[in-house]
Amino acid sequence: MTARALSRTEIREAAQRPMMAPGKTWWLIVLGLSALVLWAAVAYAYQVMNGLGVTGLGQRVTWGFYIANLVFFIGISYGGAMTSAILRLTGAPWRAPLTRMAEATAVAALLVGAAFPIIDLGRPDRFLNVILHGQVGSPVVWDVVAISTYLAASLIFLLLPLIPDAAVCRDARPERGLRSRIYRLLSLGWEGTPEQHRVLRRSMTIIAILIIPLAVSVHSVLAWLFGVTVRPGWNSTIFAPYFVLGAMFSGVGAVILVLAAFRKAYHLEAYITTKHFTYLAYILVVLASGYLYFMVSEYLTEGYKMHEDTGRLLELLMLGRLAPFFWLFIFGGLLAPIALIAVPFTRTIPGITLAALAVVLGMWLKRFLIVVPGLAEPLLPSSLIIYYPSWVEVAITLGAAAAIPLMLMVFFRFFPVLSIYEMEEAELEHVSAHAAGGA
Amino acid sequence: MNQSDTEDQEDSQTKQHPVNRRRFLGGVGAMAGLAAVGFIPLTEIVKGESPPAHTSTARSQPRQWAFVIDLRRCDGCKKCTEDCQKVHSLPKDHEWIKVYETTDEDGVKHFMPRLCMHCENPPCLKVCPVAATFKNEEGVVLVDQNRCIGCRLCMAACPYEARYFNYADPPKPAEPFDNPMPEFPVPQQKGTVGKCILCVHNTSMGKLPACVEACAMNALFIADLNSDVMTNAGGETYKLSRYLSENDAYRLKEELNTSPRVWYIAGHGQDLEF
Amino acid sequence: MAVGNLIRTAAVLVVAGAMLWLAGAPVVASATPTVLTALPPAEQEGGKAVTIAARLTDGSTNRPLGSLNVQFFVMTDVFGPRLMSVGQAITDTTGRAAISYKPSWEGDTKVVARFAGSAQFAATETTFQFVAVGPVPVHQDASFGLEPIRAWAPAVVVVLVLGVWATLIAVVSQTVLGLRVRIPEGAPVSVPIAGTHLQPASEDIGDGAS
Repeated sequence: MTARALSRTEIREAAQRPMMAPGKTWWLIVLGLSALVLWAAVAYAYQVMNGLGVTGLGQRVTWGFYIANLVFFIGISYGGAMTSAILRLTGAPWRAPLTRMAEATAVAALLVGAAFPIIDLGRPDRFLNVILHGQVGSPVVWDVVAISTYLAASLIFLLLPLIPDAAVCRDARPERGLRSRIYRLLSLGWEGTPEQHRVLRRSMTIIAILIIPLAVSVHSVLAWLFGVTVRPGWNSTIFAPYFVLGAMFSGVGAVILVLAAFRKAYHLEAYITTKHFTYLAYILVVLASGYLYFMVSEYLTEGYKMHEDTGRLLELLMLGRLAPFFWLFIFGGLLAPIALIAVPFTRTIPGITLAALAVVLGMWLKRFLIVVPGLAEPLLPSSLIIYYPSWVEVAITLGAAAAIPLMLMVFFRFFPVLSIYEMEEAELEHVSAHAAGGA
Repeated sequence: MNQSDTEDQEDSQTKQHPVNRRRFLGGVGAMAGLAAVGFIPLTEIVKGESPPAHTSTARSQPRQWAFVIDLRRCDGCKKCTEDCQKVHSLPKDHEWIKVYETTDEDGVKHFMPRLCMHCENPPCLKVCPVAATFKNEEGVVLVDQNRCIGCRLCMAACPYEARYFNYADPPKPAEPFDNPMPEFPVPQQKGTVGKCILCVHNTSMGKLPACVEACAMNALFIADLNSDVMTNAGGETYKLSRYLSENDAYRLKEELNTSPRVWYIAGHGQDLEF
Repeated sequence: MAVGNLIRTAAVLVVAGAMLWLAGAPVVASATPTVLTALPPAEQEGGKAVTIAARLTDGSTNRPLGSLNVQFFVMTDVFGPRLMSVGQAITDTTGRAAISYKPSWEGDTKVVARFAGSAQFAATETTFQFVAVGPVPVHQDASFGLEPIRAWAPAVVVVLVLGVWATLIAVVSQTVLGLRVRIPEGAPVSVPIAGTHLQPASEDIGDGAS
């Protein structure tokens, strides 16, 4: 069914709706999230003063929540690459209302994720050593380079379509002030001439093409942090594609959550419809199936041989202490979302949102199940070590999770939540296609 | 003199002479006679010239340190761990040399000491982002705790679980030492990684590593790959390559291509693999 | 009478002790003295193994003693002077025991051959020197493999990363420069986002929300 035509004014009004003076709910939520972020900051300060001994880490399980969070949050950022870049290059016009939120989520998630290697360091004051004495053969250096390059590209990818939108904001606010000055700066003198359109479109295409291999490189490099060691569960050749697929999976789930939240909060139902959720849900199912395939491939080849270390790990995961978590992930984080989306009765916006929530939480659990058991399993004759996170690690994790919606809410107070430029671009292409081909 | 020490040991290792009354009767005289016989070879010169002072040709070569552990002798007393921790002022959970215990199906306990393998292809060195882990010219893998950022990727990469992270400040050293360096990282720095340094601070001065010195069973040997010598606290010295091949020495996790420099002599018929 | 007995016993003891002393063995009185004669190695080829040998003979009769174990040691100075066991061999019918020894350092090498003694024969040992000829191989670390690729790979990766950054910087600068459009005087300040040739007549963009 075709929705009724959206006028330009309607789009612009809806996009700038969150930029109006916020209501009480907004302040309440922001205060709550800020409290969590503040608690995380306090916990980190405590950790910096007293050293990593305040965590639950030990001599065997030397990586825990922080590294799991690193992989998880960087993975969340893949939603941006997926919806904005891939869908743009494949020419899917329905992506237009989603791009701004997806890209903003990507940048926010990257900023949070990039903080975790530093949070995990024993000597964060020496972080610059990675640049001053960086070794090209070290996965940590690969991480720093890949994440910073991807962050730069994602920021550019967010800012480029923001240029015309900033022009709209600039024109909507004739009064002089700091905000108008920022909009004027950001809009780079955008006037909407064909020449400017051409320049912008070309730049966006180049970045969209570039950002896909960059995204692939980031999670591959994160995977190799584990893959270059000989630990059970880590010593796998498919770790890089496994991680990349998992990142796209969790990223799309996160985008669905963000869309559902802002749609509800700012009544964007006319622009973000059931169709958007359904299409994203189909992508989610495809990615879930792909992830399941990778898991089966991994566990089948390892389980068939049951080599000492890896065999013990499989027993631990599937039948041992960690079995409840492992099967919770399989059923709750993979199979349930697939079912929710496959069954037409639950393929509604609430159902899809629930599936996305299960996906996101499940993928966090899976990252934990990758990082910790691989370290807990001994390499020399000794026993399994049980790892319990301390309040510091929990606080920082919750604070990081809260920081993303907080950053998004504050960002959309100042910038349009829908990409006016891309929506109008999509509309125009649709119109010209109609005009040329005759509907 | 070293020679009579070794001689006594040789006696105990070779066939015991039957002890009887005649030996007692000639006791003192016998001792005197033995001593006389013992001294003669030293002055007996084949070519009729006095031997030149033994030139330190072995020292003109650089050392390439290695280690041999005789599992037949280890009794799990863990004196090696204790002494190492005392010398380097380590907390209790830092066992640079750690004695693993396994129990076989007959309930008998076996012990396996493990220290840093000082691999020739060390995974820890490869993954360090800031080259805080390095190999000195004697093949010993050391950590520069002034550069270490504490990312602990080396700990994840080490297949032998031989590295330890300083989660807290270590105990104060018995004798204050205010110049910690990779060759003597005392006291350890909080937030960095530490591990066995093969007591290069001792070996560079001709002293045995702390654990080798501490081992009452003489199960730990320090070895030099260049001069092909291995020796322990009791003075037992062997030609390294020959001893390793004659005793079926093996290395841990050989298939990983780390080329470790610690050899084990299997004892008690226990499984070589874990 | 008692004194005479005492003197007689003492004399016997002294004579017996003297005889034992003369025998010079800490063992049964009939231990035969032995002699180890060193057989230093012949000219050594640089860096190759040599044969060090010794001949065990009966001290009194000079006949060779076979089937007896002779141990060989070399003096090292790793951690001070220590006698390093380098092998042992059984004497053959000519009384010769020999082992192969590969010197690990050049220069003076002091060898000790030792017979530890048995019920019949007295322990004995001999020392001799020879000069080990170099060059002696120095220990090489085991090769890891894939050396050429490991040499080139970092350079390739660095070039790729620099290329990506160059592209990013180029895109940003091109965009910023390209968007600086000269606006002719008197033109309206705000122009609709849509390009002029595509701008529809009405405010509505068209039908179809997606």
